[in-house]
Amino acid sequence: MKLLWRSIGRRLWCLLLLGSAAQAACVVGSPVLSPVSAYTYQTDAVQAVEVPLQCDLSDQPTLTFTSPGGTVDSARQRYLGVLTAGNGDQLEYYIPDVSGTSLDPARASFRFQVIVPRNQWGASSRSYSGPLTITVTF
Amino acid sequence: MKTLLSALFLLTLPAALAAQSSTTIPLNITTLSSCVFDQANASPTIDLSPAYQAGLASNTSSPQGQGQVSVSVYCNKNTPVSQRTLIGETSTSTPSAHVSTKLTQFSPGTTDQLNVDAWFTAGSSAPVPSGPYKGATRSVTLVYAGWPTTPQFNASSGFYTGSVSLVISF
Repeated sequence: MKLLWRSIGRRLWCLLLLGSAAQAACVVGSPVLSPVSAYTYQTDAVQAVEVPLQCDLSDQPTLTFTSPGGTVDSARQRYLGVLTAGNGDQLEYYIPDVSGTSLDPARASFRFQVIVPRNQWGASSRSYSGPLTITVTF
Repeated sequence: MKTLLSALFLLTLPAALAAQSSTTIPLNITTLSSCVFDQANASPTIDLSPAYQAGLASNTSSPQGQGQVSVSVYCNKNTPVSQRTLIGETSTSTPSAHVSTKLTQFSPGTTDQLNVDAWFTAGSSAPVPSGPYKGATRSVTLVYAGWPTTPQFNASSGFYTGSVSLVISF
């Protein structure tokens, strides 16, 4: 009986180890956004985003973006999104090089830029906002 | 024991399949009102024509040379031009009010000068339907220059040049 318990206990231990190994494939941290200066219509406004990541060497994590009204311009490899103001005015942004958004060499983070391109003169002067959902698949 | 083991399998399987992690970040940006001069007006110039003749200066029946130039600014939506200011030797923000400035002879060794008057009027203001400034409001300012009615016999014949500044406030 004692032997049986030891055997079961060993199996359990093995199973738990397997389980925890699968869970630890990628750990995604909280995204860090660089400060962004006000949009002046005459130049692009650029915000850098870093998503900390811990993955196993065998994992090939990829990043996808979703947001209300957002689309992917596959020809230009851009994610296109919109920010909205309280009065309904919209400001467009894009994330360049979507397919190239890959891990940095140290495999410690994803990095990408959110760019609000210049010359959106049809937007009145106010605050714009919108949620951007980042999904890491591994 | 079998029951316990299968339960453990169920616990581990979802962990292996849950190969996605999502997080939502808020994107926020504030825009600042902006106006920009039309690049087509990069160096607006007024040619006073016909040439100045001191003897005709006070002769109102024979108008002296006068010229004008149109200067456009593009402002983002709902940003109006609040004030126009024309600056010479004097300055004004009142349409049609004259400022004076001096033109200097454009020739080495001479320092002769001619007085000239300048003034402005507000032109049209309309939304831009297309092009790089699509969505902006284009506001036109007309700047005029003309000779004063006081005769200026103290200047030698030649080509004279000078400048006034136009400041658009928004």
